[in-house]
Amino acid sequence: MGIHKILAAALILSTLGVSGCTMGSKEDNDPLIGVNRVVYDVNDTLDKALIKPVAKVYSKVTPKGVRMGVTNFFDNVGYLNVIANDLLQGKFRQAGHDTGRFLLNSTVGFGGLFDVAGYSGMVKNDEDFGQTLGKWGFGEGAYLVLPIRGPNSLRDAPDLATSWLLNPLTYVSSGVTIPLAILSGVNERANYLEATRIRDEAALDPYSFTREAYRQNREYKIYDGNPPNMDLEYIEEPEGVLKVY
Amino acid sequence: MRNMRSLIAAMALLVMATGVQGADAGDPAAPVARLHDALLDIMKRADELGYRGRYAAIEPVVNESFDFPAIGRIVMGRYWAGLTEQDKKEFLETFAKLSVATYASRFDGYDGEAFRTAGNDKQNENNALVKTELVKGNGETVSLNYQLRTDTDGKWRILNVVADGVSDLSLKRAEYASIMSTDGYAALMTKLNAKIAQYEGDGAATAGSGNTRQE
Repeated sequence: MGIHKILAAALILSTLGVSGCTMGSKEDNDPLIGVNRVVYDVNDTLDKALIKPVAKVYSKVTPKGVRMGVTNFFDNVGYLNVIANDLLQGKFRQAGHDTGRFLLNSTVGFGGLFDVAGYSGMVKNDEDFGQTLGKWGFGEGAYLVLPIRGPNSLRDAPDLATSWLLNPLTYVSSGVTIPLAILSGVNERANYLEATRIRDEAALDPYSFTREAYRQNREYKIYDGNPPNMDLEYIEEPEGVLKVY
Repeated sequence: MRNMRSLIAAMALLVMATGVQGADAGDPAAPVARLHDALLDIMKRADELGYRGRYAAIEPVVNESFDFPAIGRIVMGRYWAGLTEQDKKEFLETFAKLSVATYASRFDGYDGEAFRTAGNDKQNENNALVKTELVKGNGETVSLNYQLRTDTDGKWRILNVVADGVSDLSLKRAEYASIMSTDGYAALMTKLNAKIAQYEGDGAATAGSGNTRQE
């Protein structure tokens, strides 16, 4: 039953507060749209021809529990990046909590395969360097579509470096990391099968649909689910345009 | 004694009934509840109704619950003012049809889902946020937040649905702006109509086969 489950994690985005600006005249904020669309199309072709079929087979042949274990494992090895960004955002209590979470799952949870902390009610936080930059006041910069990885932005791209540097797997021999990276990618794609199915069903213009969904999701995460300006104001402009703030 | 009791019961029912009616104008949650009831109804009778039946059943409720004139202006944004009166009318009609078709297509089976009210936040005289959740059969929840406003007639109508943090209006606005800027109004209409036809086609294809959305 998939109702708009486009990007899984989210609460209220002040569409009409934060997006008041994205919705304005510079609603696109997509100066690289020419290149972005080309990369988007290449990604889409590659996805349809290879990645999505592989992800479908993967999700058919693996039991749900296995996929969850794989997801847990990669989330856990990526969790040092969460802790580092807790600290960078001044969330010291959360950093302590997340450190406990990481240690618990890495040991009792068999190297992160089991989200023991989650079972015992410890909240899993989602932080990254892009959110930190957002919290520090940086704007999106420009929307980017990266090869294979897809939606991104100037503000979010530096996280690729921090999450890579802070991932223990980075320091293991490439004979291990490359297969693991492929597994991680396929597993992640499998987790998004339902979301992209709904997008393909609902979107009139998949490129701008994806861009907007990405932005809203990032905005939601930067504000930890509580974006400002939930109030709605409508102003009738002289030429009859209804403005939403 | 017995008569007295049934009289009291009847009076209580009457008070409740009028209470509900009276709430309609003043309670922003009322149109949301009505929409949810109608959705549950078409989900439960999905196979019996088929796509066309679901469409017919939900159409009056959707048209009544949503403020399409305001939604149209918001999703078209800066392009709204440039449309002719004829285009505006056509766009609003097509947009409303697409909304009904989307509901008829998505809510095509019942698997123990329920709607739950999660809070109600009246922001001022004319704006409100009604927070609800769709609880799936397996216990997963999808948050559905409705943004409503009152029209000149004092009735609350839905402007926007924010599902798990993703605003329907913003998505459509971004898409429509992109299509309007590159291909123009005629192309947008073609795409909207194609989408409606696609839902209709999918609905016809899956008729009687039950809930086919679970992959």
